[in-house]
Amino acid sequence: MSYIFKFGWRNLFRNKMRSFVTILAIAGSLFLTIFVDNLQTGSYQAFIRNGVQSGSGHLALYHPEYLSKRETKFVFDRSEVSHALQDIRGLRHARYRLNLPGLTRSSRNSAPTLVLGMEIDKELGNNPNLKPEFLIEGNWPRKGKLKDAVVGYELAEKLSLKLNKKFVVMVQDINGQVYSRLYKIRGLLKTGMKDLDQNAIILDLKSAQRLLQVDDKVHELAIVLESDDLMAENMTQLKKSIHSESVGVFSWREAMPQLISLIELDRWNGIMMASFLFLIVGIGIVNTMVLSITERSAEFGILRAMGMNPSQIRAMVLCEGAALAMAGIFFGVLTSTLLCLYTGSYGIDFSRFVQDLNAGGVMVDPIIYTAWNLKGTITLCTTFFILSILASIYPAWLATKIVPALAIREGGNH
Amino acid sequence: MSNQSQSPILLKEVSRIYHNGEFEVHAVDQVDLEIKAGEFTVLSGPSGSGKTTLLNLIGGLDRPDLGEVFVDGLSTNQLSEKELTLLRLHKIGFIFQAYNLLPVLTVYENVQLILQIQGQDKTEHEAQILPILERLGLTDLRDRFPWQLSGGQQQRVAVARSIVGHPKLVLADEPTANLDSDTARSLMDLMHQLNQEDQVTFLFSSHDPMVVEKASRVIRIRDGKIV
Repeated sequence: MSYIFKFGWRNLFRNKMRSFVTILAIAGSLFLTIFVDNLQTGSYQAFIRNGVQSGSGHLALYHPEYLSKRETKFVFDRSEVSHALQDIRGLRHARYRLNLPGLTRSSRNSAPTLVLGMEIDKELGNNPNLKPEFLIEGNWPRKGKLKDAVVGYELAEKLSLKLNKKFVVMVQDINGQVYSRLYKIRGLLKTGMKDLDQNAIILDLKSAQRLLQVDDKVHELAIVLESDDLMAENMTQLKKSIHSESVGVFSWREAMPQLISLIELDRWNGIMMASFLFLIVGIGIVNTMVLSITERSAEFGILRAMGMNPSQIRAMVLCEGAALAMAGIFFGVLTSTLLCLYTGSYGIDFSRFVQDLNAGGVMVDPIIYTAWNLKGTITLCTTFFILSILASIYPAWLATKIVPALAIREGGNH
Repeated sequence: MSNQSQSPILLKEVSRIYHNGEFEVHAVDQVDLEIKAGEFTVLSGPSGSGKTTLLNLIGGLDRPDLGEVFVDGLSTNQLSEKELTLLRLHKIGFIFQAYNLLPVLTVYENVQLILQIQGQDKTEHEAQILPILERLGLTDLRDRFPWQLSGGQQQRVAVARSIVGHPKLVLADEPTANLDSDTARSLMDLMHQLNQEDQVTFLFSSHDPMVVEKASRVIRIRDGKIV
């Protein structure tokens, strides 16, 4: 069998240009698909990392009905869960939050807003939405100061508000009554995320609790762990140690389904693109092989005359397809690896092409770093190899249908 | 599978008819022929007389419409495609007008290919191939590719390829047609020597008077009939 493969391999060098173009098509397609796959992997990891840091954390505690209904009344008391934090293994940090939809009014205008009540001192340095450079004017709200507010810069512009100016926020309180309070702009926020820049008002957690008319209640406890691997055991542990019916334990996947949907959608886009490439490459291989076999019909006639049986002829053509694939895969993997090594270290800056840094409710970094997806690369290489073999089946069948006497006679007239 | 006389070749009222629209062309017409073991025979006739068709029928590359072809006692009519392939592989060697060596294989590999298809142990290949290359003056050319050889050298490789598998019969279709007269004569001498020393039966087709002169038996064919 080894001589058949050697024969198939050497046949690649008969029409070097044609083989080169086919190998280039395989290598180019593989290069593109591996690179895009690694770019997707890198961007998904960044989405998830940022989503975990700025959103729910790896694990989150909510009132069981909060995620589905998003009503402000679904709060829980901090005292119901604080004891459970001591048992978490690999805890990086835990942050309590309140999220209050409302209406903000200035003397000139009004706009819908989302009030985010946070433990600012714990969020700073950890939450990618609150990077120091995003605070374009003023300062962050001070702990315990009930009138300090940081406002999205576009929201401020809409309300014709400037630093130190006052405004009123109106929300539905815990009892369902409309309640309003006066605030003063202590800082302006510009993140690049439209949701935040156009709608957000950031308050100290105490201040937000006062607005909701609750003592020490929150909507969310976001728990960030040292590693994703610790999620399962800590989830079990939390469920065991929290006995309150008003608190549920959720993973980030449950808490941020829009992020999962976005990743799935993007992944399918990638698969669609790869499928088109597979189709084009497959047609290219069929074309190359059919041409090669048509040109060599006399030779196949000779081989049949000498006693090579149809299955050996078929194997020889399939080996040619396999040899084409292996050469293409080698160059495709080599070039994509080199590029991914570079882009994994230095990233690709998409900031010129991105208007909104919000993806599925998560801030994305416009500089995307590729991340090596070994499983994906192996899958793509295997797919291209199988595709090449499949694309060689028809040419192999054609080769076995050559009538030796006819092919030799026609070939002998060269 | 009938097993007739042990002559390498026996044809009984063999006809091969091609259909061209409404017309029938009798490329081989009711031919009776017996070639005995060790003969050095030439099929002689003008172009289009049916020489190649007859060789194809004997070589199992084509099947007769009428009559029976026996090769080494086996009726090719009754053999399956698989059995015909095995017959060609083990009992018949082919030499073609255009040499038809495989361009991606060296001289040695072209000859070796037959042994590989036969499935012979690789460790025995060299012992079989090298003496043949030496007899045919190809030892120094063993690592060259066909495109690095002259026409005469290529045809000698084709001869080596045809006999390496120890066939009972070698069929050669116009083997000297593309060679100059000196090279053609030397090739014929070589094949005659192989015929004499190894008792391999050779059947040629040719209209070259020199080839006809070298043959121990001449069968003349015209319009598909032996005359």
